[in-house]
Amino acid sequence: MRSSPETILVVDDDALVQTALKAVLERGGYQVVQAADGNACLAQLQQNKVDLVLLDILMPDKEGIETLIEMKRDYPALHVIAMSGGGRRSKSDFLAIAKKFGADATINKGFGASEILELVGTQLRRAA
Amino acid sequence: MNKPVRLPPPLDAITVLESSTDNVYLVDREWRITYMNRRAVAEVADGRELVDMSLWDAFPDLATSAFAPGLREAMAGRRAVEMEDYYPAWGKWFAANMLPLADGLAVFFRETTARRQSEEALIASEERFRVMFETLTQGVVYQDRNNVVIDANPAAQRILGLSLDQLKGRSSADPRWRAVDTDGNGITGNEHPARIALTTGRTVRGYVMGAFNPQRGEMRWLRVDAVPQFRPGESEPYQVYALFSDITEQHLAEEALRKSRAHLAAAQRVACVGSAQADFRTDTWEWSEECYRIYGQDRATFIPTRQNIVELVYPDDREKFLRDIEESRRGIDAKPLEYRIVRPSGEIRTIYREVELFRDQAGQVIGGVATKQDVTDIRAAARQREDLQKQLLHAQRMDALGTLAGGIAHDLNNTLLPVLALSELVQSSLPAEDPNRELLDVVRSAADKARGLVRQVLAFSRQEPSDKRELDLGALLRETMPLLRASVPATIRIEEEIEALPPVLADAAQLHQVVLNLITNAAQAIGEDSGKITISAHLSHDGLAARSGDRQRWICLSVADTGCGMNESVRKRMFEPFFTTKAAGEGTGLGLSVVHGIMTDHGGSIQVSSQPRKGTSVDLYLPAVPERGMYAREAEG
Repeated sequence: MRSSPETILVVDDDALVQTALKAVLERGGYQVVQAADGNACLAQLQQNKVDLVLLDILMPDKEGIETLIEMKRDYPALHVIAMSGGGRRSKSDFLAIAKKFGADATINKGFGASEILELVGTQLRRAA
Repeated sequence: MNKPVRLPPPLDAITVLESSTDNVYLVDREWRITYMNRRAVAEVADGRELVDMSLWDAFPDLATSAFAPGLREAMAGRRAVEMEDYYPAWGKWFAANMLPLADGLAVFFRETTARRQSEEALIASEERFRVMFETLTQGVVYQDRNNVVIDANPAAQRILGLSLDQLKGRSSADPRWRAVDTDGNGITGNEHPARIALTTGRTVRGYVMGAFNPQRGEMRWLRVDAVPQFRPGESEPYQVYALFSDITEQHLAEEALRKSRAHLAAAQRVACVGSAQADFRTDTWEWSEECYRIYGQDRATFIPTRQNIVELVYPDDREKFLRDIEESRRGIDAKPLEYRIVRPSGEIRTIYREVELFRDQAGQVIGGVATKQDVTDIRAAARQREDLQKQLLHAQRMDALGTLAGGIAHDLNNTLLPVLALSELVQSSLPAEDPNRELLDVVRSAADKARGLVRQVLAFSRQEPSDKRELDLGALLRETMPLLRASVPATIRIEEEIEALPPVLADAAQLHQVVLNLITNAAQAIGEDSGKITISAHLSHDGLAARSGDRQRWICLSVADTGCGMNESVRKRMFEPFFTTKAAGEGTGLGLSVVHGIMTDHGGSIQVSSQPRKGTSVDLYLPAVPERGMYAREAEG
């Protein structure tokens, strides 16, 4: 058992996704903080000690890629998992781009509870 | 020492006088005739009666003739007088020698009428010639054997713009002539017609040349005859005369006509437009050069009669071609006509023809002039443009649909995430025996199915990442074959025709998907009947590669079935996502749109041919990986 629960920041503009991920991650024994866009994400990082970020690549206000670049600049050690439901603005593959800009792992949305918990566990072990 | 010549004894003076061929009269100082020689006696009537008569009485007309002063001068002046003149009373010319003697005068005379006449004729002839030489409108220039001008008539001076003094002494080689031939090349002295006539001894006729006229300050064009002249018995000419006329206006007009013809021919060639003139009275046609070229015929061997032309027309078009000629003959103004011809090489060309009819004064149609334009390339380009426009429209439509589908898929993924994640979460928290676990299984499998659909939509909209490697399409197909056979009913035979192929850069899983989707469609098109699906892969040698114009080689993967086929409206929409001809619930309408998305992502293209009730063939073209060394060779070459 872990001494104190690790904190995971979930960044997604979709409230239903937020709710579901919060439920799954808390059931997995993690503490969850949330942000609906890139600016809120950066604000949360200043206020909390975050162990891992689950970042949606397409968000309003500040795009996921931009947020990713800023996070990796300000918190180089922070592990980030990039999520995407599939790009909708161009033909580029967002997850491949996210990987190039420093995302430690990527996952296509439409995953189940066990899939995401497994990926989060792997990433946290690597970060430790 | 002057010794007096003594006559031999028999030859006394009278004997000499008697044998003279002249008429001889001797008169004393009183003008009395003392002697007439035989010839003189014979010359006049009653010759002997004249002796002892006064000369003036014997010849009453003499005193008024031109000879009287001479006679008197010889008698009075005691000196010899020699003269020749006309004696009007006799109408004859005479030459007379009047010699003073001690006691009178000896008069010798002979008739010279014949000689005078021939001399006069010669003078008249020379005069006529001179007048002709002077008044001739043609130029005449005489040159000596050294090719140097010795004389020139006024016309020559006018035409050449040079005075006689300027002309004299010039040779043919003189650069001041600035002589050129009809092609504009300079003429050297040796090529000059006068020079040629001198060296060959033959007449040169009709030589056309240009010479600079300094008076006009321009080139004049001359047609020259050069005639060598020989002295009797000599084989080399002693001079030559050049006879020439100024043909500048005619030459320039001919030149303009020639240029205009050449221009017309060039214009016809550039525009691929030939012209033909028909004479219906003789059933003959006159073709322009371009017309022969368009038909691929040789002017030397092909005679454009109606029968001969009809034989060049593509068999299916002959009827309308002949009908058109018949209508023209009857005076019906022909509308533009398009027909095909077959060249001797077997090549088929399309001709666009317009015609204007000629009528005689009675209004009867006697012929016509037609333009014939080879529109083969224009029509082909227009067809290609239409095809490209269609392809572009289709691509734009597909692109818009892709963006739309991608957007929907993204939102669906977000929506599915809570369903998938939370149903799993809730299920795992339920006791093993809880009956709701089974219900949640249904929820999860439904969500899974939805997730699969979303994946397919993303594949179509090219938003699913692909993993491309060099692979052997043939090997991939052979690997897939057992799976494919298993997925179609036993009533359907699958045949494979797979050649050895160069590698392609492709995502193996996606190509599997493509083939599977096509086979599934093919099988469904055949349905429950028996039928055949042919899977073939070969290096493409057809138009696709040629059209792209580069060295790219294409691999054609073809799936052909003997199924129900498609009509045009279905064929047009077959790649649209969610478009399906299957009953609701039997198909998603995504299979072919996924094929389309994957092919686009691979830089390939799709060609579909289909006939209702006959079957469908879907041909996929994938770019082959360039041969190793291909670019190296290029760099060297």
